[in-house]
Amino acid sequence: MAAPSQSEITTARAKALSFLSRNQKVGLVGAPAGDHKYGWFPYKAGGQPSLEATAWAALALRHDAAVAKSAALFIVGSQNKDGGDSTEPGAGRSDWNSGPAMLALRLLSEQHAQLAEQPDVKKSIKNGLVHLLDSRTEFYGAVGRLVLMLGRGPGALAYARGWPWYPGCFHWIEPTSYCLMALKFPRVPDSELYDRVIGFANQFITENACKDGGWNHGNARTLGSDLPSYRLTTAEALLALQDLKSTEKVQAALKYLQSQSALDSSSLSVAYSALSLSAYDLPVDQELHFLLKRQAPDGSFNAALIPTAIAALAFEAAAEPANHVLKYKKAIAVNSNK
Amino acid sequence: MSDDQNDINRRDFLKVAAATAAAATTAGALNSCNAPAQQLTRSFEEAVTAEQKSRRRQGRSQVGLLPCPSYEHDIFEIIKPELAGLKLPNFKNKSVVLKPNMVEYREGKPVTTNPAVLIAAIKLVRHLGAARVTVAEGPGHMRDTEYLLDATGLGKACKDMEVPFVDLNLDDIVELDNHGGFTKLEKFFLPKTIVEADAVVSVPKLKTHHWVGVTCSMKNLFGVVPGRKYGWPKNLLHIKGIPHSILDLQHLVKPAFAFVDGITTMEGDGPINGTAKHMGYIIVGQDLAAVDATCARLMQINPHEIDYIKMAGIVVGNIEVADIDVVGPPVATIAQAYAMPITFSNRELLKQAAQQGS
Repeated sequence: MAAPSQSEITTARAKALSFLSRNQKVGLVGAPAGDHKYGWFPYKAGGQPSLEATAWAALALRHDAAVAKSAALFIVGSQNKDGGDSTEPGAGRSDWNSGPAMLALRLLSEQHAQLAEQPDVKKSIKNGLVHLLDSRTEFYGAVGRLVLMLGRGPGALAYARGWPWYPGCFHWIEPTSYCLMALKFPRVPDSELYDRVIGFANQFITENACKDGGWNHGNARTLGSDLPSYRLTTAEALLALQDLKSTEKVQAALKYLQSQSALDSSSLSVAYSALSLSAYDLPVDQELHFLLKRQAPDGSFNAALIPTAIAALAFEAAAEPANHVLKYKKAIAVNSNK
Repeated sequence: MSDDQNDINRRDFLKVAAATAAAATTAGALNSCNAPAQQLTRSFEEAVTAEQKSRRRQGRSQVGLLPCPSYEHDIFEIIKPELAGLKLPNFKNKSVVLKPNMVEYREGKPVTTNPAVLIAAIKLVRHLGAARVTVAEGPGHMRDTEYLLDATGLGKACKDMEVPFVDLNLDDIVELDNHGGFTKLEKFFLPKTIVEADAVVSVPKLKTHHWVGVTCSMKNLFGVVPGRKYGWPKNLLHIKGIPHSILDLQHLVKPAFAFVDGITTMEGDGPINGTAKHMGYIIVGQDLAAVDATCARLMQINPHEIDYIKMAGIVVGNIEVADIDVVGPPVATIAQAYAMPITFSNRELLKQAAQQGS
């Protein structure tokens, strides 16, 4: 199948970005009335603020300095005291949205030097990274870990461990992928601690691959039955595992994802597939064709912000590979891009 | 209490709950789910407070068993003659939300509510006077709702019936007070579409379930819990105890009616990996505890062996045969033996439940 033309891709991306821009809202819970420095996005037009939608829409629109700045300030202003984020400001305990929020804030700061220099942004990133370290699923209390270490040596504490959707719950593939991305992009923070945390999370994802090569929500096998992969989850996990590109697990997952290329699916799955495969320099022509057909006249995908943002990022990656926002720069080892 | 009163009470309750929650501080409002899951014990009945018991439905309950051999014909037209003999809710001028089961898709397996049943439910609530009908679901495993709507045919059913669909996982959320709940969670975030509806109708697929034995109209309400806050799967509900979460959701959502897809059901390793089993009935009723208990009996399962149904009998509604008026054939004449999941005979496996999806 021939690749869509550059102009088709560029036009589709522009329409998607226009849809996103039209849906940026201003203000912040608790901020003075008329304070327009905070910019946020909902999941759907007219909806409440969403940290996740803001993260992805802001990344798609990151070249627009004003949008990037206002979204970054929204993320900073929404951050909970523990350094994490909830689905929207004031919505209870910090949850899985901490991953996408921190991913966006770090990448926006990388893109715009003036943001990176702002003390509140710096502080927010620092607190957010510490929160990511602290919010992983813990299977053993302090005493349990001590007993493990004394009984079996320090190696006993090197168990696979990722992030939950909600504090205190089990770890799952998607939140772990989001948090891994937040730690790996634009680069891994300069501390051995992060390397270890990333290693355990990488291990969790790779150990839970499905028999067909990809990933589902996190149960590769239940009660004696092998469970199938999901296209979307596989694409998300692959984005997070680019530093393991040469491993058998990642290669098997890429094969699974490529096996889906000829199948149209949802906007979200196809857009994520394109974004993910292009990060590995693999062809995405079929995915792009499906996306072009799926785009609504208003520029949106499924009338929703996140699939539209992911599609815009996929179009950008296809048209300008050097600008792929989630391409791991040195996909050799976790430490290699410091 | 009349049906109208039930509906008004539900809406008023949710408004008060939302207002109470809004006034409360939100930071750290939810209890940590590091706390151990509530253990099911035989003393559950003794542990239930008077306040919790007071939420239980009073009086007798009715459950309708409506023969419907297949999905091939207009199900509403098939069941319509039977409706005259049923006590149905008054949906006149109401905003009604129908909540099907769309947890996940597996080709060839009866995992989700069949589109023909959803269409029949839409026709029924319109027949009962609903001014606005919305179909809403928050799939439990997959974030990709657009894919599920397409794969299951439920999206096409909504389009054909010109009914909007709301993804409850990404809907706006409202914080509700769950004081006195069984999960011990003080607050619950639920979708605005559910909170603001005049009535919620559970439209489940009848299946065996490897963690709780049977999934029907009450367990189906797990899908109202928003992924944008709690994730996919909604693991907090497992950590806090599946039966306790089911009961809390009954009291928070206050579903008005159940319309069960009992035509092609699932046995064995449900709710995803089981095998199809034909039953040939639509099961309806306003007391979801009574509906689920009756459905269990149709599967030759003692509802007292299903923890959440047994508990629902104490705090939700009627589960005893003597308290339920069945309209339709006697249950014993149509009940069939269902193959149960391995977990039903090996309860040790249930310990995995907190770490698994549906």
